[in-house]
Amino acid sequence: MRNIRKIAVRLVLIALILILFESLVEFLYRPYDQADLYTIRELEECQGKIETLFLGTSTAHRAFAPEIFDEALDTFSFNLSTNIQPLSGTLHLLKEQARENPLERVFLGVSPSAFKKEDAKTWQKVEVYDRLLTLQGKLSYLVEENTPEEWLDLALYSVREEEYGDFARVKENVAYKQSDAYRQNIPPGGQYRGKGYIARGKKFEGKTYDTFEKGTPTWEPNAPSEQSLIEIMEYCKEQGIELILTYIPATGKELIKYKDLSVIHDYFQGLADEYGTEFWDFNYYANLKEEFTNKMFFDKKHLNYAGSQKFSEIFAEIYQAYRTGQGVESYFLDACPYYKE
Amino acid sequence: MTVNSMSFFIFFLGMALVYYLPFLKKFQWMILLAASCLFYYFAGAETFLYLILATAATHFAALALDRLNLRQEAWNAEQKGHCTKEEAERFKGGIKAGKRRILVLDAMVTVGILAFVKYGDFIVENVNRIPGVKAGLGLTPLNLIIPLGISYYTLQSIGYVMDVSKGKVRAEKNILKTSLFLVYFPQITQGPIGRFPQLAPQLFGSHAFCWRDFSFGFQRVLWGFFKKTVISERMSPFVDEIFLDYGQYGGFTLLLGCIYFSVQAYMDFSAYMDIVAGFSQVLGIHLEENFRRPFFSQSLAEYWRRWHISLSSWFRDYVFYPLSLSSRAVKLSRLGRKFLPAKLAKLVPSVYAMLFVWFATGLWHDASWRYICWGVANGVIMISSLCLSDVFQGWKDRLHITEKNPAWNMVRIVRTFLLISLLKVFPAAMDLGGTVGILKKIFTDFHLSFSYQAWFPGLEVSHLAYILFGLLLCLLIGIWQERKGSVREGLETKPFVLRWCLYAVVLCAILSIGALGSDLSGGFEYAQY
Repeated sequence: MRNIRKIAVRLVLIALILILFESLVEFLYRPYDQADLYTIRELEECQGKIETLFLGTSTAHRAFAPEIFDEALDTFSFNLSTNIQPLSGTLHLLKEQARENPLERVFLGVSPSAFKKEDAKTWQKVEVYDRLLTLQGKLSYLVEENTPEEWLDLALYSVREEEYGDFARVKENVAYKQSDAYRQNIPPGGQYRGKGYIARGKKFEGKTYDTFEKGTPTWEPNAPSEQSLIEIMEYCKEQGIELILTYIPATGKELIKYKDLSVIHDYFQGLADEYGTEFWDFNYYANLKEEFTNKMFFDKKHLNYAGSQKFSEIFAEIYQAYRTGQGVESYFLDACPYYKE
Repeated sequence: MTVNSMSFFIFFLGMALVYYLPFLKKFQWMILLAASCLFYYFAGAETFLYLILATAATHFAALALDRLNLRQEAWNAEQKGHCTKEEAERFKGGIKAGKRRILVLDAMVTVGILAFVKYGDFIVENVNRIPGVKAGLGLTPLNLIIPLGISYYTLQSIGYVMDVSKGKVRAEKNILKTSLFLVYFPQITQGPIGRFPQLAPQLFGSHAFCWRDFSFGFQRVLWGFFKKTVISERMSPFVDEIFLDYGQYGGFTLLLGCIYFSVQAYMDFSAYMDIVAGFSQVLGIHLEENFRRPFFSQSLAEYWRRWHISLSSWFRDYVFYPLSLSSRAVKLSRLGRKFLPAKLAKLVPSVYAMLFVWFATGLWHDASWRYICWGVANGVIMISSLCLSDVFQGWKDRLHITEKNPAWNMVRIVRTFLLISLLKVFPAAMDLGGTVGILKKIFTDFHLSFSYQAWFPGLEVSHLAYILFGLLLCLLIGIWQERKGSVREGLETKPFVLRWCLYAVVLCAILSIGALGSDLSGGFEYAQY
């Protein structure tokens, strides 16, 4: 009994050391200009209020503007997308937000490039892990989706940090984190727009396409991602949460690499039909070429600020039409407008 | 699953919890055996069969030898004083012949397996190199997976069988206990090579929970992780880079590379030892020490008494002594007296045995000519040192240098360290050609430089700072151990707060500047042997 008490005391001591050390390292080294920092702080403040959730990869991160949806749909939304978010991570984020909030609907941006990857890299999982706020959420994600070797990377910021000698950065971090702007959760730089949504003003100056030929498809889905997507659809059905899958619009320069978009479209449409979910493919959007020109993007596949505002307005309008039973078929074509007849 | 992985840590904690359940105290050895089998299964299930065969051969050979020993004892008790000298000689000869047969049979299995899986392809490659053979015989390498720990458990089993043969220890009757001795999981991958008389009573006995062992054990594990993550893993990439692409570096950088390799190899191997000895101590089992501050050695001979102690002592007890006392060695000694001065002739048996020992040591490390050459180089230097000891003593006398002179001792330490590092060029290089190329550059393309790139090519300044911090701490610990003994015992007497501040510093250093996380998946270097 005495030994058990001794062990317990020491375990508590180790936990305290870790908590103190991690807090100190995060304060000193976590970059003050990273959007993640503000997203997480704002997410914590919004807990208990979120009704609409946006999930997905970087395309969704930069496409869904919560303030537009909040106004159009009279809801409270949050964009919890991350860079190349693995669908296994999406499921855990969804479950935690459903537990902690009165969640009614989820808009999930499906990205074929992320869907092709076999195993998520550690940094992709870190972004998901950091957005899980509860101990239950974090533990279940660690145990169910990660090997023990990855636990330290995810759970401890001190393990991720490499440049302990970068004192200039430490000085900048400490200075900003003691400022009023930080206390008010105002990030520098202007990319972070609030409620997890980020957007740049820059315009894409790449090649413009009018039409292109279909070719032999280059894309193939992977089984683990498909399994996670199915679990997401089933979970939403069980919980009575409305789920809409969407393929965010991209430029011709991005779409041409897939050679035949109908493979991607048919794949997601097939899954959505099988599990009773909506799938809106914005690369089949009737006015794709006219409304989503290169000026609406900051690179070949990510919408910029203007593009995401427009996209969010259009999406909210389509959703309103869908909600009121008007049907959404008129907004979409049978094929991508870029393809020749 | 390697001993420095999170998976192993969780596995160990679960196992230790079950191990110390009060009602399972009598069955602790079975829990250890089950855990060892599980560990081996996860580490390399496809080679389990070799371990089973080696265990069976070892066990039954030991039992057979034990029976002969008992016959010998019974005969001695009955017949002593009642039989003629010829009868006694005949009986002893019979027992000796019987033992030899059993030992040969056992070696055919245990050493045979080792030779087949580890050295088979090496033999095939070299046979194929003989002009005309490849065209004719055209032997194909088998590319077999080398079983985990085979080099270690084979030596351990041979040692056990020979100890039984000499009557030093009684054979274990329970094959499961014999299995445990060979497969005990903390030490199977990289040693230390255990001796049955010391290890078996601990493995098979019951251990009540001991707070001191528990605490000391985890302290040692923490220290092992510090050396592994802060020093070894940080050094490994830039050291490997020097030897992978040695052509682009000058002799000076390559010499430094040998020194770095020496340090990195020690940190890696000794870290492993600390981790396994620490985990073992938590279970109440004290493994033999494998290192004793080897870089404080003043001669190559002393180095080998401080580095990989279990291996060098194994070769001393089971190869060197038997060979140097064998009839062949005696014959060679007589021959030597005819042609050599008396002092040198006396060394002939030792030289004879050392040549075998060092050839075997090199071969044990790896089935490659560069390791054989490394072993032989060590042997040649030690033999030369032995033969020229009188000459060296003469010089020291003329220069009035005494063994107690601290400056002279420092010179010897530095000289020995440089010598060891230079010898490390053999294992550091990719092959024998690389070894020759690097040595050539060291001696012909040597230009002293003070540029950062020449000293630390490709190493970031911040990482250098982490490594230096780690090395400084190791040096301080090493000096403490050399002068005052155990650091843990010294800390035990210090206030709780001070102790925990030190633990916190080490833990935080591992987390912050240690190369940790999912990148740390490679395990330890000596597991390849």
